[in-house]
Amino acid sequence: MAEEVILLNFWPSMFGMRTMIALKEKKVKYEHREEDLINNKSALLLEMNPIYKKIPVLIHNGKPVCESVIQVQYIDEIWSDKNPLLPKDPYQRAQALFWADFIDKKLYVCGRKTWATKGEELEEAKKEFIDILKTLQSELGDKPYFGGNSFGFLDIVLIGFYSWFPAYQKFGNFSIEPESSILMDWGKRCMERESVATSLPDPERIGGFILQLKKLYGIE
Amino acid sequence: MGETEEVKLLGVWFSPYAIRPKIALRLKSVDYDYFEEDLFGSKSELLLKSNPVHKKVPVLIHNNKPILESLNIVEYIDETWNASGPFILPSHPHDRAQARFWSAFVDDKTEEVKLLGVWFSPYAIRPKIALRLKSVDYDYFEEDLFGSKSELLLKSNPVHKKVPVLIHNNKPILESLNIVEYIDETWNASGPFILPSHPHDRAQARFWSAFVDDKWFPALKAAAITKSEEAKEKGMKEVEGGLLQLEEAFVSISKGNPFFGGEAIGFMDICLGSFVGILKAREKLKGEKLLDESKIPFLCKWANEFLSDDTVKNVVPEIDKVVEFLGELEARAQSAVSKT
Repeated sequence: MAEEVILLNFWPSMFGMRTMIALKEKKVKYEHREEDLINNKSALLLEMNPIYKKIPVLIHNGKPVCESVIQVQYIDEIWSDKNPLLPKDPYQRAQALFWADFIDKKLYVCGRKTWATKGEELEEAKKEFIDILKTLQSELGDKPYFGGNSFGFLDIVLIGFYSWFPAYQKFGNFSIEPESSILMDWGKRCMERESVATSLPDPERIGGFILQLKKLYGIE
Repeated sequence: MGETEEVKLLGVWFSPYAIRPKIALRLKSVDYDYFEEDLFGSKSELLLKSNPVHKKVPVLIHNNKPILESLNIVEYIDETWNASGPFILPSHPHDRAQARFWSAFVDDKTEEVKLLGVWFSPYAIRPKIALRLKSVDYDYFEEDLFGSKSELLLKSNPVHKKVPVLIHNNKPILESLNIVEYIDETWNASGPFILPSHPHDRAQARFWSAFVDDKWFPALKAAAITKSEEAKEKGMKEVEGGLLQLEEAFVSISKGNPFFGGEAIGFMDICLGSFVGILKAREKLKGEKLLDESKIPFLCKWANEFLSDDTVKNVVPEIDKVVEFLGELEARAQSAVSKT
């Protein structure tokens, strides 16, 4: 039976990267459609995600699935025969979902502040950012991946941010290196996987994109 | 005989989030020990130990392992006690994805946001613009300008009994500029930033908005109301002088951009822009040309840009309606005077 899988995405999105990596890990054939979020959202995007009008949107045989974490769970459940992404054990699964929520609520917001704020607010954001990385690092511990020995769900949830780290540091004018070396090693390890290397953009491009955003929002 | 599972639930009686695991545990006929956290007191040791990151309820502790976040807990209960009771999550992956999507929507989006305002009030326009910029859904309640104040207003703003009032998850926020700052900080992950990012620019924006609210508009109001020709003339001179100062400020702050905020509208635009409708209406009604291109060309251009901005034009009332309303206000004032 022909499966039709379409991914509506926007290349800098660390959320879209998650879904792409999950599809690639499962070796699912899909059609990638790039949305122009800055100028013109496509009619398909507005039809498939009328609530949030955001990417990524996964369209499977005509039915949309929205929100990146939900998409990764969905992909894991549909293509369950190979390469499980979420832990089997319910407790570990609950833990993984907890940390995914933490990353979305804390890391994303704080990261944004490193290029969008100045002065005291920026200084506070930089401190908080490093604290968040340290927390994630202690969750990783000495495991090669967040899930243990295999690359999995939580690695997929976090790795997109790895492509944004250089830009956060450049615009915020700070370094995360000494405190987060273990996390950086984890990032490099994930980048060795084809699914990750082909889904994350060049960090230089992210820098250019942030300049565009700053202009759009009138931030100096 | 069998293993004794140790199931503890930490909650707060009033929390909707804590109700969720209670229902799930009951559906699965699971026995558990319930621990009530002190809402207004200090958090228990057990809570601090099991949820050190967020220190929040509910927390499910199953055989000494803590599970956090109410929806995660419900999924965990469904998977762990899968041999008893009904299935809580739907069986088909697409239906599950949908269920997760809508519960995330409930938790993240149905923040209860209410705005109490009066259609005509420039102060009430300000939070409307800010909420729109951040794409926040809200329920709007129109107060009766000439009638009695609603119960909701009297309860949420007992000190001043004035609009606008923003009620966010049952917490009232008062004073239009405070509300705009609150909206900017609370919904900080979406939409443009309303206040400027640099502390110096923020201080400038706050300074000029205080000038508009504390000096400039009160002068206009006083000049409009006064019966004395002398006081009116003096007042209008002050208003025009204020506009000249604002023109200078605009030129230096905007640096060639269309708005005080730069390429997009920001705090100062919202503050002063909320009065543009009144200025234009007064021009139509009284022939009073405060937005004089020969005197304040940049501000005049800015005023038109502001009114044609996509976010603003759906929020500010039509000039003709304002004209009509101002006329009515005047008539009421006259008849009140003639009655004495």
